[in-house]
This record gives sequence, C-alpha cells and structure tokens, in this order.
Amino acid sequence: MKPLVLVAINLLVVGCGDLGLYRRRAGPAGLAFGGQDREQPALSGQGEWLVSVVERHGRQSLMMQAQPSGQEVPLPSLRRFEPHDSPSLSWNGRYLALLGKQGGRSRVLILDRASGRLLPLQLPGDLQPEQLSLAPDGRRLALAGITRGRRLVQVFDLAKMIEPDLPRGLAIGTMVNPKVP
Amino acid sequence: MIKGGWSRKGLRLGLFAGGMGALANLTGCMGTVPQPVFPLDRRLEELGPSRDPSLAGPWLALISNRGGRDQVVLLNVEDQRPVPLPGLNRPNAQPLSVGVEAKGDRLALVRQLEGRTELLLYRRRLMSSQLIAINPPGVPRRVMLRADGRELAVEVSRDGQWQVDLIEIP
Repeated sequence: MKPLVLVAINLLVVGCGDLGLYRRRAGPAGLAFGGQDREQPALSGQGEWLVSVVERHGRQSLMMQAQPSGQEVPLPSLRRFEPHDSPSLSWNGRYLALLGKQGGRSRVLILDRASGRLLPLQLPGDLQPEQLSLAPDGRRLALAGITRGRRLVQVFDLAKMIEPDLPRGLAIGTMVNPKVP
Repeated sequence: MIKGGWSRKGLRLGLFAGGMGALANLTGCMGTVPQPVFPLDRRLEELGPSRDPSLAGPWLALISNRGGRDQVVLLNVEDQRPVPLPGLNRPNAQPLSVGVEAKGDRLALVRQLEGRTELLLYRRRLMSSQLIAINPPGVPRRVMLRADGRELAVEVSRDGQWQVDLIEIP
C-alpha cells in the first residue's frame, strides 16, 4: 500500500515546477566566445570547475574554467588531439577525461592536471567510442559507442592506472558509499 | 668472456632489455590498456543497445533500448543489479540524456514528452519528479548532474545557439 501512496504523491509532485532555484548562464571566458556555441558541459564533483566544448580555430576544443569566476585554464597538451568531445571531470577536477582524435582515429584520453601527464587509453576489442563518463573518484570509466554494429556501454577499471581523486575530507581508501539502497 | 667487449650473457641481457624498452615505448605510443569491469560487462550486454552513460560513486545511469523503447536504467556497479525507478520511465516519453549523483538518490533527465522537451530532477527516495523550467526559455538537450547532487549543467538551445545553464539545487 505504501508504494502506491508514494506513487500518488509522485504524480502530484510532477508538474509543480521549480521553486526558487538559483540559476545562471555559464559565462564565456572573454568576449571572443560571446557569440559561439557552447556544448557538452561537465562539472567537477563539487562544482569548482566547468569544462565545455567550444569552437576554436575551426575545431571543437575544450574550455576549462574555474567557477564561479569563469577564469579559463589553458589545456595546451590537448591541442594536438582536437577535435575534442564528451569531457568529464573527477571530484576536484584533477582528472579530465575526453574523446579526441589523432591521425583520424578516436582516442580516449585522461589528463592528470596535477602532474600534467596525459594518459591515452588503448581500448580492448573494437569499440568505437562516442561518449564517456569518468567516475568522480577516477576509479572507473564508462564508454558508450559502437562495436560490431551494436550500440553499447562498457565500463573500464582505472584503479590500477591512476590515483583516486576523492572529495575533500575523505581519506584515501574511503569509499563514497551509496546512501540509498 | 669476449675480449675487450661484453660477455655473451651481458650481450643477451642487453638485447633483452633493449627489446623490452622498445616494446614499452611502443605500448606508450599506443596507450595503456584498461580492463573491462567483469561481470558488469555481461550485464550491460544483456541490457541491449545502450547509450549516454553517467558514472558516480557505485552508480551507473544510462539509457537502454528494451523492446524498441528507450528507458532510463540505474545499475549498482558493485553488484551489477538494476534498481527500480518507479514513476520515472513513462511509456510515451523519450529520454534524451541522464545524469546521476554519487549517492544515487538524485537523477537528472532530459526527455521528450507529448511534443515538449523537458528537464526534470528525480529523487529515488521520494519516488518524485520535479520539472525544472528553462529560464530564459530554451530547449534542453543534455544534462549533467554534479557528483554531489547540488548543481545541474544543462546544454540548452536558445536564440539559435547552444548555451550552458548552471542550475543550483537546494
């Protein structure tokens, strides 16, 4: 009976609209991007960093900004992998995962902003990646793409490749436990 | 001992080390090979065609096509089990983009329903959906929910341009 009551409440709640949400337009970094498209936004775990895709020198390129100042952080090591696609950030913005291109081939890249190290991933099998999502702690990476004519999602273990990037106040080895069963 | 040179053993060792170095260089150029998470991959194959993944904490949200209909699926990566999302997947709705927070309670969704494209926030604990208006008016396409569940980054078509709206959630 209880689930039915909750579903009924749910139906009542849908359509109430938002109540006093604070919203803002993500400002471009400088006037140069004022009239341009800005796509595929991704925030770090606690919102200190925003990365999105803009068009620069005729190619899709990542723009990473501190929030809320909008101060842009250059990403020169990624330039040779343009056009960029599908960015994703870890908790503190230490890791930036993205899809890039090199010699016409799609590449999955992880930039460690703490060390400046760029880690290109070689995917097993024949998955052609189209989208990605990096787990906030950097332990896993989900890729969506096409393999053998089929669209699917695969998850990869990165725990042995990169250190975890945990939310502030959590010791290394601490899991971010699910609170909801 | 070869006079004035290396021993045979030393030469072999040198060649072996050189070979391994060349192999390491080659691997470095090609990239590091990550391992798929087993047996999650089998579970994902069973789901059918899938796209738009969102990973946070132990949770993986994605859009999967079952029986010709796209729907949002939330899986716990640790035990590979999908969890129920009552009230979220409506038969006449087309999900476009989904995001999940690390606690797995809040999901953000862009969907098409009855000719409209709408943004909503779903709370699993309450089994409730809250529509979030796009203001100034625009059409959402992609949504990303911050891992702590406190903010949405939304790709919005407005005035003939793609823009990014940031919406804080109390």
